[in-house]
Amino acid sequence: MLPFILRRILTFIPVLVLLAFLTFILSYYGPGDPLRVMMGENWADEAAYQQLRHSYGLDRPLLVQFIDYCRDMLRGDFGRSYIQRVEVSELLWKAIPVSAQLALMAIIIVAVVGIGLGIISALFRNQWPDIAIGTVGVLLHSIPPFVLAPIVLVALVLKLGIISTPSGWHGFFSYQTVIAASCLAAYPLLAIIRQTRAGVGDVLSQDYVRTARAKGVSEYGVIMRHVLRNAMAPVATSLGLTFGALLGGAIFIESAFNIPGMGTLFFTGLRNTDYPLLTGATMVSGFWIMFSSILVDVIYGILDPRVRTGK
Amino acid sequence: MSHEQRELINGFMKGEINRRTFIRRAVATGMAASAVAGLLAINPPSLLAQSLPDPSAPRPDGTPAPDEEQVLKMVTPSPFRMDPPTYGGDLWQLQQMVFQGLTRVYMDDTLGPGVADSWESNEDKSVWTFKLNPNAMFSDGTPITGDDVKWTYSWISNPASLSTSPDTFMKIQGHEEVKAGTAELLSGIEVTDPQTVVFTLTGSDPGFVARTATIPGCILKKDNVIEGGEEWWRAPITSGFFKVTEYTPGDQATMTLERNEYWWREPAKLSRIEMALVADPQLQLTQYDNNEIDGMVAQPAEFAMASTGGDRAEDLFWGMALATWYFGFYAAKPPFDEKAVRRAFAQAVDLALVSQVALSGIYPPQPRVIPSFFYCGGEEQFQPSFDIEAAKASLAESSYGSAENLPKATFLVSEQGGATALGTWGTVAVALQQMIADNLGVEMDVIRKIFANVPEMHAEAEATDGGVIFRLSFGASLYDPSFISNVVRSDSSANALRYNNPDLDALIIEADAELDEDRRCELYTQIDQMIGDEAVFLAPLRGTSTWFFKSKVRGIKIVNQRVWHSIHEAYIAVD
Repeated sequence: MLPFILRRILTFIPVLVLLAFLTFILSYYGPGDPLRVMMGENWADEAAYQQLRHSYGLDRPLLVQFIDYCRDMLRGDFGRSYIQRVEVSELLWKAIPVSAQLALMAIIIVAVVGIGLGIISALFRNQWPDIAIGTVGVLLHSIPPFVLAPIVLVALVLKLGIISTPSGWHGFFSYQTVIAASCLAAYPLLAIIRQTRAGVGDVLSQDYVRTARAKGVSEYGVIMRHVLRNAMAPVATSLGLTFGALLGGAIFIESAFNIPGMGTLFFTGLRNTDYPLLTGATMVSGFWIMFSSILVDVIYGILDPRVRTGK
Repeated sequence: MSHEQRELINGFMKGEINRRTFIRRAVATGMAASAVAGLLAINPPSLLAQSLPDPSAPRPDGTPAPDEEQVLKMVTPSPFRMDPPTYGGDLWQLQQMVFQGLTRVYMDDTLGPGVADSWESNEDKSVWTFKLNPNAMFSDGTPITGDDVKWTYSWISNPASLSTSPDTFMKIQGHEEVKAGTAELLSGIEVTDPQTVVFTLTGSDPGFVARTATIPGCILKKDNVIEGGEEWWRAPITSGFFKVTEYTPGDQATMTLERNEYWWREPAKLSRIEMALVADPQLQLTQYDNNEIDGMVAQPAEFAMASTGGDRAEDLFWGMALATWYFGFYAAKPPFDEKAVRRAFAQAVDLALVSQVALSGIYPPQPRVIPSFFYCGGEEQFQPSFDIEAAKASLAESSYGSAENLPKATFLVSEQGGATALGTWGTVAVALQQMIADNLGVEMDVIRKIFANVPEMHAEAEATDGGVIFRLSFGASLYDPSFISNVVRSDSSANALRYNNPDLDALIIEADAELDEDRRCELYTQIDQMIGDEAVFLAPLRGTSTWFFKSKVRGIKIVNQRVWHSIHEAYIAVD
């Protein structure tokens, strides 16, 4: 297993370097000029602008800037935010645990609810529970998060009056986190339900399931021991990749609930053309996605040994 | 766009056609779905204010709550910090109250004492003497002296400060040396005793006192800034009404301000202000409606709804701002380098109608640049009035003679840089486009694009075939009518429209150097008049400052653009 993991890590190094270069190039040639944004009403003062360019080292050759950036990045230094004027690493280290916990809660909801409903759908294929689950799944999948979040807020806070506005980060087990994570889970839920439904449906028709039933294994035992394990490999892949994407930041949900995670960081960086922040956040997100991808491969390898042996 | 479609849109915008009929007929005429959706989204007639309500009068006084309940909870949409040299975001005026300049803008919209009690100048206004209040103290209890003033003004000019306005005090002698790094302190500032500071300028500057009330003029404590390094503002020692007792930077920044017990003038009525960054406007509204916060900025759609009734009608608090939102002619290229053409276009648009239907009336037409509520201002109609016949006559007078001979013209609309919802200015451009087509027979294009800054717009304008009209804005960061000079002076870097008129330049030079106050006002009025006569702007609209405040918040007033200048008078009432 170790050589397999090392091989996977080695393939990601050039990808990370490429990602770093592309994001850095974007900040160099991309639209907008953060220094002019920083200058506010004084945007037109050319002398002040040149002075700021020099102060921030932006008047050096591109390659020199990139090499410096990579060297600093290896030390965990992503530069200083143009707009907030604080170290990007400080912002990242605050945001990553928040997004990680939010993503973890969301993926738990997706896994528990999605797999559960997927199994029910498979067991009641084309019957009313299957149709109802499919309809609800499609509905949740169809509502954009920037619509769903305000609806939830208005319903729970203003109409029902059962909670105060779930703004900010209140810890993993808080109701605020569960609400935000539920909204976050709404979109990917459908894919997990469908994959589970399809996977379980396929396995249910396998000979060894029929054999297990013929041997008198209870239905619960059949599902848990024989069906789920074999149906879960593709679902685990989906869950892993979903988790990676969620870690990268759920811009709309975090913004709607004012959660100080990676999504909010991206949103603020984009809105203010704050390239050091954007570049740092992109690199960390890229790293997380690759990390979760390795994790998925490892889990997949455990579930299906043929993967790690390459057979 | 066909004539039928234009008629349809005009009818809808005037409220003569209802939504249902509009959609049905729009589909029948083959109007683009995006255009229909855009008009419906931005301009639902049900949201239109019937007329712009009067600016909010100060609320009646109430019984103040006990001191421990004098807490104001606010949200703001952008990252913030208390950092006068480099921060120019949404809370810049609050910053001026937390820190304090030698002077500041008072509630009656006049300049008054800040750290300084009094000031005087020599006859040609090239030497200014400020007397500091002997009780002036920083929030740590140490006295504010002339040396602090000298260091602060020098620091702003010093590249190490990373100031975004390093030339604010460029007329003080020694500015160039400090800026070049060959001197640490401005030689033109002399501290004759701890409470007396003498500024020697390189020439006359009647507006110098106004400069001392700007953000770069906020007095800082040297040790705090130097010892705090690049992030000294994490724990700033202030010089104004409030001190910072908690600050967490970042995307969910929070800040707690408490009354500064060392403030030497009448203390703030609020004991505490709790500020939080909430970027999402919907979340802000939810918090506001759930009584979790006491105030927030009202976006145009909410303003329009509140101005016609509803739950937040009583909470609406707004006033005119010293800002101009405008569509202006890029004067560096034909055909808008010609006055007659500019006048023809400006006379062809019914700005009152555009304001009403496309902006819910929130930004009314601006008759002249300096408004009546500002020093040297007025409400005379200098901007060309809507007159279709006059527009046609102006075009006929131009070197082009008629619409057919005009080169192509384009609206370049950047949605950035404003407080309005995304898409608003594009819709205004479409309305202007239709009016110009209908009233002048000139077909224009509308290009919506995000421009981060004016140089990018200039580059796009130069690359665009034919004439260009921009959407931009400007405000007065300086409490002096000379702020309009920068907008139109040919050599000003802030002249975004690249307007060039030697006669106007001469008038500006004369006004800027004029020592007699009455004559100075007269000259700035002439400049304002010339801006209107020359039709520098196609569609100038007056900016507004719009807020929601719970009824318990009293004592506030919109002063010189925003409410923050009255924050020391705000208090929480119990009835």
